[in-house]
Amino acid sequence: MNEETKRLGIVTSGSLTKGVEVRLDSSASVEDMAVGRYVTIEGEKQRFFGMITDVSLGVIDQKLTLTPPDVSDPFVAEVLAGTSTYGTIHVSPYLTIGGDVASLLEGAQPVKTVPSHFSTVNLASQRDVELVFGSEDEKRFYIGTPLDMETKVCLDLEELVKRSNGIFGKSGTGKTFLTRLLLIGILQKGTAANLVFDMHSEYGWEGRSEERRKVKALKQLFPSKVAVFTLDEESSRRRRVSTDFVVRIGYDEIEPEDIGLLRQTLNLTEASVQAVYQLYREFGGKRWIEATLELEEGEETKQLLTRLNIHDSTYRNLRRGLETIRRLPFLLPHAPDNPVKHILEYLDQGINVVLEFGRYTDITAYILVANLLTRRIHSQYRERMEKALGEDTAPPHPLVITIEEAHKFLNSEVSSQTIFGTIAREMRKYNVTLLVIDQRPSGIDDEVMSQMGTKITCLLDNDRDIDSVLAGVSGKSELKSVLSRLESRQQALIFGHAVPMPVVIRTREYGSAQSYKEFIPSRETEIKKQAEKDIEELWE
Amino acid sequence: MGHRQGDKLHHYLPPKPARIHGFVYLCSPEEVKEFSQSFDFLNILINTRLPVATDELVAACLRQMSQVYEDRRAFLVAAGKELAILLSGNFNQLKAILGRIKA
Repeated sequence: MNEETKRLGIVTSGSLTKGVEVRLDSSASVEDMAVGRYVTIEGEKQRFFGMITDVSLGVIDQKLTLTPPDVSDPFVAEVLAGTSTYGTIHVSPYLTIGGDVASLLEGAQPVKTVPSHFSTVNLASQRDVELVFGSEDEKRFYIGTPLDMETKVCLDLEELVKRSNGIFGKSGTGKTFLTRLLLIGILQKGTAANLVFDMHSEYGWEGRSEERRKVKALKQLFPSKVAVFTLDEESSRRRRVSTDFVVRIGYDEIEPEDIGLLRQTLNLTEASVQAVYQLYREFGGKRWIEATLELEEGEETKQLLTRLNIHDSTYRNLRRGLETIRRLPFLLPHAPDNPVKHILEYLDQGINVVLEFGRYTDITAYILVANLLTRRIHSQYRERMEKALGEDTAPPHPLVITIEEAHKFLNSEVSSQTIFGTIAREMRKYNVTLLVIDQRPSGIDDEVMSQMGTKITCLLDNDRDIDSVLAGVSGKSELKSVLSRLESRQQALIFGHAVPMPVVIRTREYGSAQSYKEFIPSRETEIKKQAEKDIEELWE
Repeated sequence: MGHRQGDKLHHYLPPKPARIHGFVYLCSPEEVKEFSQSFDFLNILINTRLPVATDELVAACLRQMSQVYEDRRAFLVAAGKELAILLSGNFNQLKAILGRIKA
């Protein structure tokens, strides 16, 4: 029997909702099966493509379990294997290949029925997998290989960037590497511009692997297509990162909504947040923070607070919070430059922007800056999209905003207020989507989670996290067993919009010289692309 | 256990019993080999009521048959698998037979 079509067994029972049971032949050992592997089922009229989601043992006669036979005798063991004792695998069919016209035209179709009794089950061949996941081309990016296979699993990046996506996993499971890969993919295929809020400064210039080995990041691989912005010039300089712009933010750019978001991290009361709006109105948008902090103890202040109906304790609470913000070194009374304008300029040229936070990995700084910048970029994109619709011109280039520690922005308490909640829910229409990176997906609002197009998840072992990631996916209980058995490194489960069916991958190699070479498109393809573009422009 | 009609070998009993006073010959190794290509006869053997124990008979029969094969073990394993299916409800009997045909 050749490796290409290895027969495993036959279908014995099952249902569409629960998947089918397959009894293994005596030649197929249970121990060779692994959850997450692909199989094809040869039905009478169509071929089914599915994934092993469970492996179990069966006996024909219960007495065998009570008085086990003497398996130390190889003869007895061989006779009993596959007859009196057998292995079964549970397969969830996901797609049908071939057969009718629709599948010939559009490739694999989602499964709507189950194979008939005793259909043969084979291990999926390389060709089958290729047929399902496509091969690398202009919009598909090779992200990894299926378990125990050499074939490439490709993500349709054009589809991917149309919706918000999430990367989840416990810390140390490879989220950062996966994100870096995805960003490179988006960059390489040019399907969207990236704006990365890089909390730990590991996407811009270089990062480190678990073994503390240095790995190149975006700017080193694509110097002409990536700009590194920094909040902490000193840290960037120490790490020898060539930065393109130093971000400084003025107090005058902070709005009450920004403070509202920081309620939890600054430990503000609900009343203090309300007071912010009142003070904002009182002092005007440009200098309300300064004015509030400059209020001095005395009769005048007391009168003001009474007039605004702000309680003294509320005022103290708020003041403490604002002091914390003021201590952030990248905040100035008046910023010399407008960072939003610069970011947009770069993004418009198709240059990806990575904003490094340097030493300011404190969550207050991250939330404040990410939210502040994104809100302005969002309104710009909105305006442009509306303009494009009105004037029938080309819509703005799609933008993907990457945020880490997403549960701080998107938890159910604040997601309705933050700009990220809005983007996750509706910004698809304005060509802006999110790439959410998080280790506690259960902290993210259900509504936001349900809107995510594609989810890539590394190992998770908390039940609540697993449940929230898999919410609303068909075959949830099967995927759950797959997810909790992922290896703790370099393996991930991908499901959703950009892949035809859930897939467990071994992440593509990242970090060796060869891998870098593969990321950078060869000169020939570049020239070809340019030529096509020129021809297109010629005809416009 | 079976009969031959023309060229065809059947693994079930003939419609008529053998003629009385017919001569009895030993099967040649080739004939044994040909007959034992299928294990359908095991069903007949197991279900017949004889004065001797069925287990002994089946085991002896298989041991005899296995001698015409080069790979005795492979033959016995295949037969054992067939028995395991036939005797799925009676593990003790299966165990007894397997003990007797161990290669």
